[in-house]
Amino acid sequence: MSAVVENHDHHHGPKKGLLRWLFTTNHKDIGTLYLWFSFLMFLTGGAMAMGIRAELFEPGLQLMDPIRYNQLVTMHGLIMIFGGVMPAFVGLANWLIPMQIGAPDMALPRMNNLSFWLLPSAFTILLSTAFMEGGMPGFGWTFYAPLSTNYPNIAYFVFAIHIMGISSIMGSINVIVTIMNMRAPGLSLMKMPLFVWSWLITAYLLIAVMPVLAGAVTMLLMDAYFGTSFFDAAGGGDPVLFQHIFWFFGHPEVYIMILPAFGITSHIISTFSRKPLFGHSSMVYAMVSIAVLSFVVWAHHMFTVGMPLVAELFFMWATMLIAIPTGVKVFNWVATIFKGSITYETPMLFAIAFVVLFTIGGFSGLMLAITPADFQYHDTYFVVAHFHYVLVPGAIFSIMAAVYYWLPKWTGNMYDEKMGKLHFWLSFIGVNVTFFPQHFVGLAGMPRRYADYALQFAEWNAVSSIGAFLFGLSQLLFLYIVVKAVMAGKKATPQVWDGARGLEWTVDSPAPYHTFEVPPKITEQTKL
Amino acid sequence: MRKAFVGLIAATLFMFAFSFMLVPLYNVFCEVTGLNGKIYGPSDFFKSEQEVRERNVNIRFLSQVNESAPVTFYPSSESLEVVTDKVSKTSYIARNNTNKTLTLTIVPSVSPGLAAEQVKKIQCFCFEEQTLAPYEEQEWPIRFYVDSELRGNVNDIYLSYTLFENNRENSMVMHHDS
Amino acid sequence: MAYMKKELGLITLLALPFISSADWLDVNMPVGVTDISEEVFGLHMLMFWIMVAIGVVVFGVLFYAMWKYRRSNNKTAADFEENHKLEIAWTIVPTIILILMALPASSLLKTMYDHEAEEGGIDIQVIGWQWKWQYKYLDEKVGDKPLSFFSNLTTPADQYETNQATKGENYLLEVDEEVVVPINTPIRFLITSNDVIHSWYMSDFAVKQDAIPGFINVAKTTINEPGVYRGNCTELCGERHAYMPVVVRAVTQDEYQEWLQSKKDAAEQIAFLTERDWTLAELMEQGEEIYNTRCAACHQMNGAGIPGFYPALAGSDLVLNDKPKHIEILMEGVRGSQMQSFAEQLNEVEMASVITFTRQAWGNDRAGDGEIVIPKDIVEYKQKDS
Repeated sequence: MSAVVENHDHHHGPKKGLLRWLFTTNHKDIGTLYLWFSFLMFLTGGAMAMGIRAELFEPGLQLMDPIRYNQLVTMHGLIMIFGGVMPAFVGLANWLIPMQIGAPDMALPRMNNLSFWLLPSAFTILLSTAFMEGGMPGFGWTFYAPLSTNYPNIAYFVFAIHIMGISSIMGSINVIVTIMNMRAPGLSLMKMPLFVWSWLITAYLLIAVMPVLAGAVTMLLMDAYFGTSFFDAAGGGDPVLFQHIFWFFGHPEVYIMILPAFGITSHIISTFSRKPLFGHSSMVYAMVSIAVLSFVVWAHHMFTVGMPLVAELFFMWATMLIAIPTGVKVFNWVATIFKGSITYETPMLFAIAFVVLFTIGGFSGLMLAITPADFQYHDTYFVVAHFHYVLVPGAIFSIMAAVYYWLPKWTGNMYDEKMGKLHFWLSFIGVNVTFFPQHFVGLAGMPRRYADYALQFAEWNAVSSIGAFLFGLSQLLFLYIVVKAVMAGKKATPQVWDGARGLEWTVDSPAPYHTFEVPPKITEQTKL
Repeated sequence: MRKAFVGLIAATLFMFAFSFMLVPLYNVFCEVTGLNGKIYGPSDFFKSEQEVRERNVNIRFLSQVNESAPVTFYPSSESLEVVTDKVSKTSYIARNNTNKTLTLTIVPSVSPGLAAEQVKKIQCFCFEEQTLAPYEEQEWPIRFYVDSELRGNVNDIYLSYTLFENNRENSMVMHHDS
Repeated sequence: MAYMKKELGLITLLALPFISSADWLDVNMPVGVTDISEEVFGLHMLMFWIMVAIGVVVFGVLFYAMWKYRRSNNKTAADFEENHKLEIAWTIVPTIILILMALPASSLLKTMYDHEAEEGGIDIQVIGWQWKWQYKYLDEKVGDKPLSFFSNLTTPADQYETNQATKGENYLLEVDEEVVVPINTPIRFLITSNDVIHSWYMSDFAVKQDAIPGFINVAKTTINEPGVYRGNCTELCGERHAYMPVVVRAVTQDEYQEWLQSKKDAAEQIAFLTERDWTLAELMEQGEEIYNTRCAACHQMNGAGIPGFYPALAGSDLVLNDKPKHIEILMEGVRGSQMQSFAEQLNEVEMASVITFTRQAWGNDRAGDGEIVIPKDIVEYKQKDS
């Protein structure tokens, strides 16, 4: 993306050419790198999803053997989570946090560069297993032992995960240090915009749990190559221990993937309702509660491993509790819209769809929390439906909403509104046709990670696959819209959206390469 | 700012160490709560006359050979009616069906998990590695008692032993050989 | 526990209209055939309707606001940012709803974990293998060992792999040996694994427990209705995770005893069958059937294997010329590879048949020493040095 060179203040502009991108320490450039990388990974993981849904279009194996199918399922999950959703949120953090707190850049700009460039390296290592004998990992993104301890090429998988983890941890350290130290004078914590808050909390979660994932993969490597028995009963270990360690990371991880979405949604809903966000502080407290509670619910992913009754009851109740702060957030968004003066540009469409469809994902989540019922739902498509609802029309829609919302600020051009709305409706229909029927086949008993299935699941699988093809194709439209907006479009004003509040809307569009080199004055009147 | 940075690095390293601490912590938790029916080390029989409380409990013995190791392994008696707080004896038979010496580890598991803590083993082949010469058959004794601390509504206990061959290179779990 | 019976009964009552429509279009959980499965279904429907109600209210307000306060209809937005009464209400009310959900759920879970022994129960050990289930009836002896058999998928590869044949009604849900159990009898399934983690799932019983190597998990059920019930493995266990179904046939007590007797008779028959003479044609016929069910998944229907993964049998030097080694591999497996020991999975007749089949099929009869293997050869192997 181009950025206007500021002529005053004796700054030279960005380097010319490709080296700019390799060595940049500018938060806007790095944000751009993360966002494009994430889009590339989203399309890659999406292509794998197309392969999966194509195979599942009919019962029987038409396109691939089950080994390849399991590999696609595994890589689809790893790429979407670690290559798609997480880097996208980091990209948004990089672009927005400094501007939203009135800081000139992130606290540690060179570490910021490294954090980004670790990612393409990690994914190169992971994807290179496709060309090795033994192939890509095929044990599910959750890589349970002992299936994973006895699988080829896991050293590459472990190495890639370590590198991704280091990237996330460094990024989180950067976020926290930036937010805690570089806010403009007068910008107290409770005055901070919600996107910044959501990232502050997310960053702490990442620091707490990414090292635990690192521990889990290290133990896996040691069991596989160094003769230890962390997860091997023969040596005094326990396969279930793996699940506990993994999900201790895994559950906070899913909140890591949704909290920034909550922040984005709060901004967009407020702007297009032309109304301040309802319950600003309770939104903050709700996010904090969700983050804290996320540490004590992990075993709801393990209700069928044979835990004692007391443990199952505890995890059921703790999981149900999370519904309360989450519900408060949904009600607050609705209350923000209520008695607003609402227009439905593309960002707002995605944001409202987020609220509705994420809530539906929350409903299936609450059902899953009920342990006796979970004995029927666990490891079926009901779970697949649940997490795809919270991740696709949840996290991904919020990312798309954010892109449409802030793209004019980044590029200086308005995107094509008609095309944006078309992309929205195609995606909305696609996502629901794909994932709603998965509730049905899951309840009817279709297990997940199945390359092939019994005949009674055929109709809804065909429907789901058609939805997937529609959704997948629509993202090519998104690519077109974004590229076009980068290159040309109606010129954007600094304010862009008349209801928008926040420091980023006080600078030019496109935002100058360096912003807030002099911190802005925050007073009672500043619209935040 | 430097303080924050150093603090966060320290937090990261602590959490990495924490994941490894989860290993012994998990075992402690299992021991205290009986989760997963894990049982530990030999016990001594130390009940005095006054502490003995007798009631009948049925124990069923199961066997499982892991990854179809070439050993025939089964309990000499499939179930026993025992009295709590009294020492009982039984055994398992194992026969090596190959012409190679095998070293074996046998791992116990108890169901219901709550009962695990109360099944106290005084002598058990599961405490150490066992070796079987080619075609050798051995009878492995167990001496144990069920503590009367056992919950009132548990009258049936399942004690299962899984036999593993120790040479992990011989693991037959899915390998795409590279 | 007793005090919740009324509430649970109410739930079942609420679910009745849906019990009758439960089969419609296969969009819902089965009611199942046990008391527990019915209660689980009732709880599921209760949760479902509560979610629907909450959705209707919340989305109702949202859609109403979206329409009423669209800019063209409302030029000036309000500017309220809080309403303490409302916020307290919408924190307390959901909490109460959650508690109301948690009570029947906790009660049902306690029932499912109830350890009290039931009279006249039977115990069945369930062992997950890659990629089949083994069942041991611990109360029933055949000879001096518990009745034990393997349950393999019988859907032929030309239905699922090449899609040349029309798929049968029980496509991917049919096995060679069903788990036969009596109705109205408490059954304890003692679930474990031979290799990686599997999971034993019967939706009609609301039973799902992971099969973990080195550990046993218990699942209890009492089946109320005779019938054939089909389930699946529900934990990713490798390549053929989708190809190891569970089939349970629930019958009357009399039919169960008959079946047990037939199993005992069949076992005695094996001893007799191993003694008699077998023609090549008989061995080939049985061998082919076994090969297609147990071996073709890896070694392929045409015996060509998959290079780098599963060795070819057609034209293989070992298969053609080394009868003793061939028998040893089937009996002991190949340590360090995926070739399991089949000694427990095939009786002497089946073993001899399948080895003979592979030595004769695909032109192997002309290319090699052409020796066939008879059941007595297997008996001899088993008696070696013991």
